[in-house]
Amino acid sequence: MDGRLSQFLQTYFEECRDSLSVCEPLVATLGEGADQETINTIFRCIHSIKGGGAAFGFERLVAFCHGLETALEALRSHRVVLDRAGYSVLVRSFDMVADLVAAAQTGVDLAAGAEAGLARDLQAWLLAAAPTAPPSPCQALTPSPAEEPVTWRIQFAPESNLLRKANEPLLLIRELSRLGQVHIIADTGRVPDLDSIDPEAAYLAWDIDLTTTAPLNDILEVFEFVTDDCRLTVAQRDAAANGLPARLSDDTAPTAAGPESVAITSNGSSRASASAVPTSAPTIRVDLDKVDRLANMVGEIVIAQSMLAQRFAELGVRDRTEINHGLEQLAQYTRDLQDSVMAIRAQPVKSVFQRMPRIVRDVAALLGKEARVVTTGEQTEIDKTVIEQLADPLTHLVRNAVDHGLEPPDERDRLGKPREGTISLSADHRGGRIVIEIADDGRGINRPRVLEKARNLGLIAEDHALTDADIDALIFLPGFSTNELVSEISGRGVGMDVVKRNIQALGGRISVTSTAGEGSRFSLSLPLTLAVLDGLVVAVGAESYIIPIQVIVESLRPRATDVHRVVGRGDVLALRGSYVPLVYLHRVFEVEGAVSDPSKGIVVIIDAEDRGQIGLVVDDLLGQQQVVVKSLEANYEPVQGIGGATILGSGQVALILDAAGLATSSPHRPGSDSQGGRIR
Amino acid sequence: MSVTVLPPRLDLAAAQPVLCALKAAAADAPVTHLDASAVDSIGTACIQLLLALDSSLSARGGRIYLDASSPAFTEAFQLLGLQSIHDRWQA
Repeated sequence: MDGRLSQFLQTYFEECRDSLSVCEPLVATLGEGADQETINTIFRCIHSIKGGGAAFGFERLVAFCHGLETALEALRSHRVVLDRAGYSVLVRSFDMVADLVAAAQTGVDLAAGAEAGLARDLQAWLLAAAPTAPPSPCQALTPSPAEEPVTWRIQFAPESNLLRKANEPLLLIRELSRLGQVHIIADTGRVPDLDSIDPEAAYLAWDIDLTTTAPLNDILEVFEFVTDDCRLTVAQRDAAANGLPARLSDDTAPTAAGPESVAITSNGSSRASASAVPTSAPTIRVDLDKVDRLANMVGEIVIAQSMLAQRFAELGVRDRTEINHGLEQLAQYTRDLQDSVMAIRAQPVKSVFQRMPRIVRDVAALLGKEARVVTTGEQTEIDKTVIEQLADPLTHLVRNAVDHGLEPPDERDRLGKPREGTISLSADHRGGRIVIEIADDGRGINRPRVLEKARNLGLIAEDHALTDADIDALIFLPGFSTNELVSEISGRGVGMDVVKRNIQALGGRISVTSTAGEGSRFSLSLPLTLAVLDGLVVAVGAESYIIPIQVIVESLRPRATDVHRVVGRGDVLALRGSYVPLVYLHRVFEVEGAVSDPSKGIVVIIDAEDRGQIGLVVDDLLGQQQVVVKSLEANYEPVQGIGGATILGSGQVALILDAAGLATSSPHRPGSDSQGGRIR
Repeated sequence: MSVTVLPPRLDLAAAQPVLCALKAAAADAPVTHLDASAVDSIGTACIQLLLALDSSLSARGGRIYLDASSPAFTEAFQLLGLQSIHDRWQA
């Protein structure tokens, strides 16, 4: 395959992904009753996947999509009613389309006949659901004899570049011929001789008379993807011949008075149905790499601007009014530029949320439960990187909610709850962060059970008194599970501790609230982007380090009497009845000339995830600031205890500390007896 | 008499090589015999090349003879409204 075709293929798969992504949430709503626009949208998506697939010769995909189109067509023309069996087979069919697209993309074919059984199920459902004998696949798209056929004159003249854009008139005309009887006249007048022809240019044009009962929109849909690359006129032939105004056949007919005709040219388009073609701002596809490079470059500008401001301040120029004004403007524009670039990377959380209905459906079906998903705030935007890493923890929480949260339907009946449980997903911007909540209306956390398990595992002392919130938080401890049986659903060896770790790795926090008999609510608070973070700049000797604000609990200068040596385990700080292990940053990073006595420096208490709290001993706190994160992994190599690097306004490179990594490397880890814990 | 055998797949990617082959065939003689029996799929681009060949040969008093045609080849001409040309080449 040459480069251009491979580029078209890549575009096709991107469009498939978009189409499937549009379909996914809509398919989930079919079970609640299918409205016409939903079916139309799904039909268009499948039609688009099929059309492109045909151009690239993905025969299995095309054949299966055709069968699915037949079913959708029967549904939208009310020839069948969507029952539970139909919903199930349609859902599985969309999964199969996704699998066939993936197979076409990866080149790893599905097993021979993998889709055949499902195609038969689709047929069987059509037979069973139709009040009268259903049409065969070939007949499905032909007009119903009950409606009066209309003859349309379609003038289709491709622009020269139509073929180069992977469009094939032959496929379009074949699709058109499926709508009814066609009479095709080709105009060969523009085809040059052999010496002058451009082998990839389009020269032919056609006048096509189509006699059909299909609405105008069905005809226009055939040309949906070539309207910018052809001259297309569709006019009702009989009406034009009689000189009479054309009949407006249905709601989707043109809104303008006059004959029902529509001309589409490369210079502008008018469509028969405003609802069929939602208006949206023009968009372009851009490689993520290019956006990342842009974001990186803007990060450099932010750093340069900050350095410039600091240098001017250090110069001590007396009359700085104008310079200051300029610097402030530069700072404002730089912030705006940074926000704009971050906005390019931002995506609605919808892309993650829309996967959840299927997961809930599958898990509920496997467990014999009934569940539905309610989502709100799905247009809330968050950085693409965060979204990508959010999918796994969110999936786990949703599986858990169905598996552990929701009661079986009979039990819910007995409790006076609806048989169908509800999983609610919501997203909202709060205080510069995004808060995602996953709630269920199930049984809530069984606190006595959690407490018993935690004591059995030795996670808490027998006599340790805990509040309800403390008990709920126990589920995030490593290795904690109340599930005696290994569950196929959520017991995949991944516990809530991993979910918590994943969320914390994103700079986020997770908490849970629960009411017995009413359900649980998990709340995730995440940064909007991973490219910048709020950090506390601390001094250690001549070096500066950044501690992410979200892990800081407090900072203090302890009394010398509060610092104790534990033999073989290093120093601890006595703090309000607890002992917090101390980590001396100057020892970890081998910094000369730093303060080594905590009572003469500062101890910053940080939350080191599952290792609890640790105290970082530093010389001084230099201030809080937003920093641009530079990946150490991408530019150097991963270093334990370091989450990244940044450049301060002074031009100094400062390492961003990774709390969990520091705790792991601290001398207080189990089995360690050294005081060094050095990281090189 | 030489016969130009058309390959099974005549899509856009095949257009340039097919053009070269047709030019070579047209250079040999004003009459070109085509064997389209192996054609599994053919797109508009290659059909246009055959029409261009027809035009070039006609200008020299020649023509195309379609010695054999596959169902896919014939159907493509029908769909594009070129049945009469297809029939003329077969005559």
